[in-house]
Amino acid sequence: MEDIVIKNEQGAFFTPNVNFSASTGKCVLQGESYLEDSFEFYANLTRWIEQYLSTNKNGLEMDFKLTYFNTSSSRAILELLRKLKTWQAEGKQITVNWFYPDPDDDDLLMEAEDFMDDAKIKMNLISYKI
Amino acid sequence: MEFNIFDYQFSKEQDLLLYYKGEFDDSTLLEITSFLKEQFRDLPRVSKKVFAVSVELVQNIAYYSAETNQFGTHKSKYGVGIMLVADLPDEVVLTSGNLIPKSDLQEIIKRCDQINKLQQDELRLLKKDIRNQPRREGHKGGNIGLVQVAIKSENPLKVEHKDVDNNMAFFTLSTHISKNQQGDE
Repeated sequence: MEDIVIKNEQGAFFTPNVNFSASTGKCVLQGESYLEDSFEFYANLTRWIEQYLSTNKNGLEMDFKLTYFNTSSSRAILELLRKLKTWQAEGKQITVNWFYPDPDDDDLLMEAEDFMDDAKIKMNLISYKI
Repeated sequence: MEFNIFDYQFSKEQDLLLYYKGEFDDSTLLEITSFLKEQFRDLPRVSKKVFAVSVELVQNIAYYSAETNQFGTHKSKYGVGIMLVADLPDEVVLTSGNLIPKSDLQEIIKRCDQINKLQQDELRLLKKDIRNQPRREGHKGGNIGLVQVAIKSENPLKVEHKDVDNNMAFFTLSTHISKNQQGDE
């Protein structure tokens, strides 16, 4: 199984940095998410995770370090979190970490709380200094 | 302070930071929103808010304007409209304008009125509520744009419209963002 590595692009849209490692199960999503087709982008990541979980006994750790996402990304992220929750319920080892900046100028902690509430998933909320 | 797009057409406004009229394709979208973010970089919270609001306004035009360019037989998928941003002493005023079918006007005005009646925590619940509904097939947006504009601006949505002909109206959506944000001083 191959890793997914996507470098942040600012061509016409903001693509977050993606670093999903098949060997460690560490998945990092970082930066700004403002995409032409959010649903397709996140659906690809979701498919990768599903495949990873079906072939790996080791757990998966998902880090969200997003600094901005538009409303359609927000919907797509919620769909991803719901999937993660489903797989957790099936017994897969999945840890979700949500990093938010301090000062939190874009209310990213609040967004995380709303995601947790909607997806019924637990996330570790971790602040970092900027 | 009020900023009226119709008055602007006939006056020389000095506080204008951005005026764009044309197609809102992908690169225009990025140019406008990045430019605005950069303009307020000394006020991080204002900058974030201006960026977030401008993304939603610009995408509204790109996806929903009834006007699109046509070159020969090729019809662009991106909407045409205007975006206008005024940098006033205490606030930033963002206005978008585009053609919409007159038949859609009442629905959109009703939605804005509903949004304007809600407090910040109620808006947050409404956003969650919309996000929890299944998205419409073939719909690129999140359907949450207007609510997000109200949440980020922390100010009411102002709607104006003028009939263009029997079928179309020019519709403007405007909001303002205070430049006195906690944490920016």
